[in-house]
Amino acid sequence: MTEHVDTALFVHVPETENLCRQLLENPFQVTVTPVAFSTFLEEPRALLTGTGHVVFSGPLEDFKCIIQLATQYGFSVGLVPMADQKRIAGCYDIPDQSAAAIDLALRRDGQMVDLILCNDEILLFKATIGRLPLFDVSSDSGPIALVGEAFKRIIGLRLLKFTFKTGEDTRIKTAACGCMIIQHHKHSLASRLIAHDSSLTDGMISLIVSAPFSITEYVKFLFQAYRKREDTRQLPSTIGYIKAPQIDIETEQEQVVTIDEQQVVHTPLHCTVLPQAMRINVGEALREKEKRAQVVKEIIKTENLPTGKEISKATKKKIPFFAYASEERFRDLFTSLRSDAKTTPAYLVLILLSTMLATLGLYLSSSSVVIGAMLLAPLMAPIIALAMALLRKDTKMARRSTGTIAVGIILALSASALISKIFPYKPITPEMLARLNPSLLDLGVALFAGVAGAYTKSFKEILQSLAGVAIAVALVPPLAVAGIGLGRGDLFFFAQAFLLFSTNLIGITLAATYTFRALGYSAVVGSKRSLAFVALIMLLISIPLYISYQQIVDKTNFERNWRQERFLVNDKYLIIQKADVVRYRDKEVLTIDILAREPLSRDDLAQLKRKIQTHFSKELVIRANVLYIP
Amino acid sequence: MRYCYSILLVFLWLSLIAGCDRPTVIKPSGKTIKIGVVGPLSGPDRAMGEDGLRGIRTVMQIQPYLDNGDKVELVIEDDKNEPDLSVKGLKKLATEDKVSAILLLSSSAAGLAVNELADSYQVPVLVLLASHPDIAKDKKYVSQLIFDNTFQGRVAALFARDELLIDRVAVFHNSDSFHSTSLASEFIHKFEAIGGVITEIIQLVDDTDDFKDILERLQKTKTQLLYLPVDPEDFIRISMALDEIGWAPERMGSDGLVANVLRQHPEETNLLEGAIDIDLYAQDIQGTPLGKRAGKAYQKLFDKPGNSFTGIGAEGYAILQQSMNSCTRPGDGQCINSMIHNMESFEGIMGRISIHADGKTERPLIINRIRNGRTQFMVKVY
Repeated sequence: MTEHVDTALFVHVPETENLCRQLLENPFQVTVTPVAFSTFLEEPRALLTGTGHVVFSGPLEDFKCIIQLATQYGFSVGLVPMADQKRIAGCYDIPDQSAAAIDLALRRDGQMVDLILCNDEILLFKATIGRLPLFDVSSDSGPIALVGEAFKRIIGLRLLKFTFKTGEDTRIKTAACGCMIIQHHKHSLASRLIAHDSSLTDGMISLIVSAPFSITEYVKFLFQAYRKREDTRQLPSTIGYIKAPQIDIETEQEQVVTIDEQQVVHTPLHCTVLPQAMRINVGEALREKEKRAQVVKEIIKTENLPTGKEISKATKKKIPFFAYASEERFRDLFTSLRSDAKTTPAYLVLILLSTMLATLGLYLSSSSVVIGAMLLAPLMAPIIALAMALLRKDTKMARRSTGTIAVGIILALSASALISKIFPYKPITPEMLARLNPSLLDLGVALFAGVAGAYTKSFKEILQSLAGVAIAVALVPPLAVAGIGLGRGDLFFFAQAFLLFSTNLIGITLAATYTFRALGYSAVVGSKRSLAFVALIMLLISIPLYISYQQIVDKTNFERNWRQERFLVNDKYLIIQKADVVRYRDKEVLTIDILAREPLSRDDLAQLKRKIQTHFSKELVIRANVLYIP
Repeated sequence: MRYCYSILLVFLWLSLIAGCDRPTVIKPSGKTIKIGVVGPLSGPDRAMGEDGLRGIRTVMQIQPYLDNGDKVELVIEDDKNEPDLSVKGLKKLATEDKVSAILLLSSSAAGLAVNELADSYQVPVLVLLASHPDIAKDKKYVSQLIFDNTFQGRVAALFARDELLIDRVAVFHNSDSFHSTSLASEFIHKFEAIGGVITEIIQLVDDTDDFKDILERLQKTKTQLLYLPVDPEDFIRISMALDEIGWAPERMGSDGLVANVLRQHPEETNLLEGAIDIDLYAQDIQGTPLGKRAGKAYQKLFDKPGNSFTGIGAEGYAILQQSMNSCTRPGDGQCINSMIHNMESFEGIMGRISIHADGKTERPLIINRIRNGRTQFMVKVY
């Protein structure tokens, strides 16, 4: 059974005067005395005689005056929000309909709530300092709208120096693009982050600090915040969180502080909480939530925020698109890459062994031996080192890695050519043929392998995946085939296989460079000219690769279509079971398997040949295998 | 760096320019060459004429002038698919209108009638739809663009026997149709020659209406396939009767069946479902460059879907156009005739076509199955 107060004052502004009649005729037998807000401000003590409850309806700044008086005179407050005050209504869980809101506003069982004062200004919902794009955007927005809005707002975002001091005298120096104090602010991305920890009665102030190192990190954070379930406690990687009864905020330069969306004060900011300072009528759900609220201690989670030297580095420039990582932070990786760039005896031995294995595997047409050679091959390491050297304009490392790659290529070509020369058994196997038609698909493989290689090298915990990358891209077998071509004195053989190797080399270098860039190993691409040269070569080799790709597509379509071709030759019905087109020097050889029920004469075959030549534009050399069926 | 980018851009631009296939602009000469078209534009068979004419107009739209700038004017004669009117139309076009060549869109009876006259007027006649084997036979000025019934009937029989592995077939035919009887005859002859059994030959006359009885009888003979080179109306009635008795043997129609049903009986299209269709084209085969261009132009010009009649109309006019372009005087009938009769590897709508000196065309026959109101390609027979 809900109880209502016996008497109440209804403090209104001219815009809400129309509610007087509804309140005066309330069905709860509450004696309501309407009074204008200005009159109430003049003599509150006199008007409050005989009643301890005030129902208010009016703008936010007037509501704050009522709250101030409530703390001074000890009356309880009921709120009937105006039509455009959905945010206030949401925060206090007040119903939208005026009748239901009046019912709630006239009740006796108000909830004691904390009051936050920042530089003596009342903070009801939130206060922001600096730029916090999208923090206050509704979490109900769709992901696409959110990303669009994010990009619009985060251009030119910069980190500022902040010092936060809590009531227990803990000082936190950091850099952040902004911070937000949240009292009870529902349905925003920021409020989602601490929804599990939000209360009106815990005697604490909640502060969220945002310190993204790059735009990509910031966008990542927005997605994390958007997808975050309210009951999870883990914070995104660019966010710091402080909860304390008192927080002081200082900035290097004076910053405007927006309290409840009004710019009223500047930093330094001193915020303190007045626990259980006033009684306000709130909705049932909020009341239940507050009942469950636990007493909490001071919380300081600032491990995601920059400290020490990072602060001055981070505040120097606008935040970059990709995160910048200092050399100190990735010292291990650079040490490893510098070592990879060197031509060591182990590298030479492995190149020799892997080439010999690959060459023999190719002659034997043994996939497993060829894969073994791929795993042994050490060529991937200097290529990845070269990518990093190009990115960071590390001339020394670039020279070393290029030299190592060149030595590897020469050694591999010589070894396979020599084996090919020495061995009397020189068949052209399917394993070799498979490496003679590089196409755009191979370039695609190389690009993805480059991304995978750089990514794998960047994280120690997944370094074992580098073997998979080596198999995927297969650097040594094309080199071995090219060497076999040299050994056979067949330049076409050599050129095609070497084109495949070059495709892999260039694709990996380019993709790995940009992967390292995206992973934050450099703020800018250091050696732009060298990289442009690599890109130009890639563009040039894309032309034969594209032509080759088109040939593969044509061949596939041609062969597939042929399976549905039939010929009526001298009244004999010939079914094409299989067709295969192989380019041999300047001619195309069509080999067809024909099913026939009757024996075919020479004349039949001549007729068939004529029909094929008539109907197909290509000049074909025709070979037919005839299979007679009963 | 900027220099490098500039070179790169120029290189890319040149590549694009080189890849562009810009159409040649032809300057009109002011001269006109008349081409005659004879076909049914009224009467029950008007679909053949109307749709074929759309195909002709489509190719004319793609290239309105000949290479020398001469304009082509069509002189159209409606023959209602009646041989007498076809002959009358041919005479008028040859003597009064003095056309340089004639495209015939009528069926075999009209084609045979015209066949006898073309040589005497010395005007080249390209027969587009008539498939009777005697068309162009021993005629100097007639050529036949469609495969003839001998080829079609034999291929149908061999496909049934060798690919569908069918032993027992019943053959229906319309007794009053050259096209139907000659196809039936070729099929029966070939199918029996390769060891198949013809369970029954059903000759349909105008008052045949006991399809249920006929089909129940055939069902008892363990017939596996019904060869139906019949009118679209009869094909529909047979399909309805099959539904009624709950029997679903293979059904094989002849050229023009799908086009006629879609055009004249669109509400009965569902009755074609599952049938095997012998045709000139298939909807799911990628066209040649001419096929693609004609398809796009047709969609812009007309709101009705194209069919085999449209396709052969377009191909016929394209062949004529190429022949005229190959002649020093594009209006010279004798030269046009000679060019048509030596047309080697002309790229048609869906493949290459060759017209030999005897006026017969070597072109692939396409066998489709009807699925969801569309032709689904099965095989192509050369």
